[in-house]
Amino acid sequence: MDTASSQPDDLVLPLEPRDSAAIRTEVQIDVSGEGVWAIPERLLDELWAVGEGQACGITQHEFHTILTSVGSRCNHGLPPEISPDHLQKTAFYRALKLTDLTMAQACALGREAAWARFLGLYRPSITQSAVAITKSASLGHDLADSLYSELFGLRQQDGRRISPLASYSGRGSLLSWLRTTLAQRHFDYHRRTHRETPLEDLDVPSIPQPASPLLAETNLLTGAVRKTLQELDPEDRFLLSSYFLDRRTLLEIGHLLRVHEATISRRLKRLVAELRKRLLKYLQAEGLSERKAEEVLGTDPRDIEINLRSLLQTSESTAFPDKAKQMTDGEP
Amino acid sequence: MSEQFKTSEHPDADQLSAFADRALPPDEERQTFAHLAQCSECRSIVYLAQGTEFEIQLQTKPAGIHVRVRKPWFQGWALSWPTAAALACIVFAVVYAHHINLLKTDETTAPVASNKSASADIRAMPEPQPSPQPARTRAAQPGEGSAPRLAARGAATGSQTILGKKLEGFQVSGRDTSSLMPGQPESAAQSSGIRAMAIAKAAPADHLTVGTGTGAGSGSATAVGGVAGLSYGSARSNIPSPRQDAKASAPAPTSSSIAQDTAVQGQQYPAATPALQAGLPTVTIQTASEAERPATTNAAMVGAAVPVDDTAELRKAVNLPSHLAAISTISNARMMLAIDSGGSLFFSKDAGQHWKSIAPRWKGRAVRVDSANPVTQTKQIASTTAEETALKVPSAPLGSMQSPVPHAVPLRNGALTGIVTDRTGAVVPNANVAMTNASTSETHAVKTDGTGRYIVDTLEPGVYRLEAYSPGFETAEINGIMVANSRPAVLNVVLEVGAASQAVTVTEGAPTIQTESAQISETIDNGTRSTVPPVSFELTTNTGAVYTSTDGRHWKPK
Repeated sequence: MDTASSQPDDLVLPLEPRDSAAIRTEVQIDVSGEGVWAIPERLLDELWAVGEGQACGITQHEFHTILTSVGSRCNHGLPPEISPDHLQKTAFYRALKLTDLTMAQACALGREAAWARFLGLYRPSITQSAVAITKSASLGHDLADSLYSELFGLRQQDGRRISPLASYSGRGSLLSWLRTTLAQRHFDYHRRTHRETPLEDLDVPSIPQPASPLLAETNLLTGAVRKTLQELDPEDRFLLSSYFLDRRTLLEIGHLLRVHEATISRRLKRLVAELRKRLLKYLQAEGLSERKAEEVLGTDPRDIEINLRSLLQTSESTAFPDKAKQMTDGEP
Repeated sequence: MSEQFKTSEHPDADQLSAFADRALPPDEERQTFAHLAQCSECRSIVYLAQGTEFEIQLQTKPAGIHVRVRKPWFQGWALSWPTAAALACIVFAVVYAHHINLLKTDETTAPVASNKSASADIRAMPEPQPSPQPARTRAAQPGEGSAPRLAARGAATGSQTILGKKLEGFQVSGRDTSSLMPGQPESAAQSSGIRAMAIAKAAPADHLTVGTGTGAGSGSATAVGGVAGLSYGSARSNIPSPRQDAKASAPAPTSSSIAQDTAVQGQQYPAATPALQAGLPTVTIQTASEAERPATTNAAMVGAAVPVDDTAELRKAVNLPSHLAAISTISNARMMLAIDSGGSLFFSKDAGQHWKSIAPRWKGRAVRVDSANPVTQTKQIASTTAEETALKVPSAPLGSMQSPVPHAVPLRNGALTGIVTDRTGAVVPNANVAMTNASTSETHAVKTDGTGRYIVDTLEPGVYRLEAYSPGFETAEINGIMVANSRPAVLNVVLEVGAASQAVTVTEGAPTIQTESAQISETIDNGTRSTVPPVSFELTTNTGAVYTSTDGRHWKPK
């Protein structure tokens, strides 16, 4: 399974076009189950006006259903254990990209007006982004065309067309979602066509080195590094990974984090100094003197049997524990 | 399912795009950070989604804000105005300095306001020295009966011949000696008060020809210049000057007696006519002796030739590099020589503006520089003729012999002379030149002679307007000509080719003018010039040795 399969199935489009009355009935039934007044009417009118749902060919009830579905999926921007109140819901709905959300969901529902609007707004951007991602005009156009077909709902599940646009929650911009989807599809394509084997598996077994007199200190240093990296904040580890492992530039990192590249530089410099300080602290806590700890830090990195990549990319805190829990619960 | 890419643990596109837009809630963002820190593939997707570095730079560049990059101060048009101002100042300074220089060096420059159709230059001439012999001056003055008669008779006798006669020491007034035409007897004659004239461009200027008949048989002395209306035009004959009579210790004749004498003598020349008809070469008479020069000078204002040593103005005007006074000068149309009080010889090609010292190739100290006549054989031949015999007057200086004109009389009024040429430099004969007094509207009309020269004398001092016209040319009009008393000026007029095509026939010796266009025709007849012997100079040292040179630079013992 690839990244494209990680789509929520809560919004599906039937293959057979149904009449509007049937859809309306279905929506009404669904809404009645959730509660007709899940979104106050006044707020709904306000959001409806902002979302321009009428231009995309959807009704206000459908719009209401879309909003409630997105809110429940994201728990209105709150952690799962917290139940949102009315104000938090209102803030969540107002923070959504309602225009993009309405158009994306309308496209997922197969509305022609929404598709026309979507193609007029995003077709050039999609093609341009695809070419930029693939760094090839032909591959870029192929990637863009495949995404169009996928977005239109060629993939079927239980006799219904599934459009990835249904997974768009409106928290980010639709263009960003499209670019991310393009990157995912490109990565899937690259992974399918380029089978790579990790280099460490092909490495020649290293010649066993004679026991070094500093072996004990080196082991201390290895343990200190592992512990220090695991205790780092996820954002700091993301910075270190991006800068030292992925060789990303300060500009790229800064643009992703929406800060200036000089800020990234200062943060990295401060982070490295903090790491050294923590390592010294750990080493001294293990009984080494300050001078001895300095000597151990000056050890040739080649003498340390440590995989910084694996250490840095391994965290005690599991990302998306809810998903992991769902995965664990789902497995037989 | 891939080992490294567990679907359940990876954020979907919605989460990543929201993360990229920093729209995730804090806890979800932290989880995303934690995942991205350990998932290189999701990091790659995130970085791919945000575009390349170049796209980022384009996105981060604020739209609509154009940073104006200022060019360095030395580029663009920043220095255009200062440069233009500096150039204007330089041009003004040069023009002003040139103007000041003109004022200093050319005191007698006549202010001329020329129109577009004509270009002219005016060169002033030294003031004529007052004649030491008033009687002779009076006798030579025109308009007293004899000269008109001679002129009329000369005109009636038909064609004439040029009898070249060399005059010894002469001077050229002003600096623009090259503006005068070659071999013009009238140039000397007309500038009777003007000491030096008649300097040729090509021909040696020291051969001032005095007109005679060409075998028409009449043998009568006639005017050569053809300057209509000039009463003393008849003076340009080979008739012995009245001054010759004076040199012959004869009493000063009256004007009528001179006229009669000239007429009689002119009629006594028929014997020479056959010889001339037989093709005798041009006779050049040897320079008078040194001892005779003072007498020549004192005799009269010999218009064409005046001993150099007696021209104080010229010596004063000479500014030698040695800063010493010039004791002897000689010049012609091409060069000018001067000896300073230290005995050094200087040479100038630009009429005395720039001097060059000549290394002495002689023994002793140079005390005198003079012109010499290189032709000796012709003299011998010509001396056998009756004409030459008649010309030879005992103890008469050559200068006096060559000045059979009454122009020995200084002008009482102002005079203007010059040469009318076309744009190519060819002289324009028979061109009408009219001088109109601006205040009295009095008009003096003359015609140019065969060499393009005109002379208008007896002009009252004042402001005049000159009009020159010739068929085939446009009328040249020059206003604002200042004519001072006894300060004759030279005003050369250049005629522009007119619209009408008309051939102009130039008389013998003058280049043919092509009036259809400004292109120079190749039919210029320089035969007259080729017959003129070259210039030569003589240099006398304090030891009495005489050296000769033709170019003024290389001297050899005589």
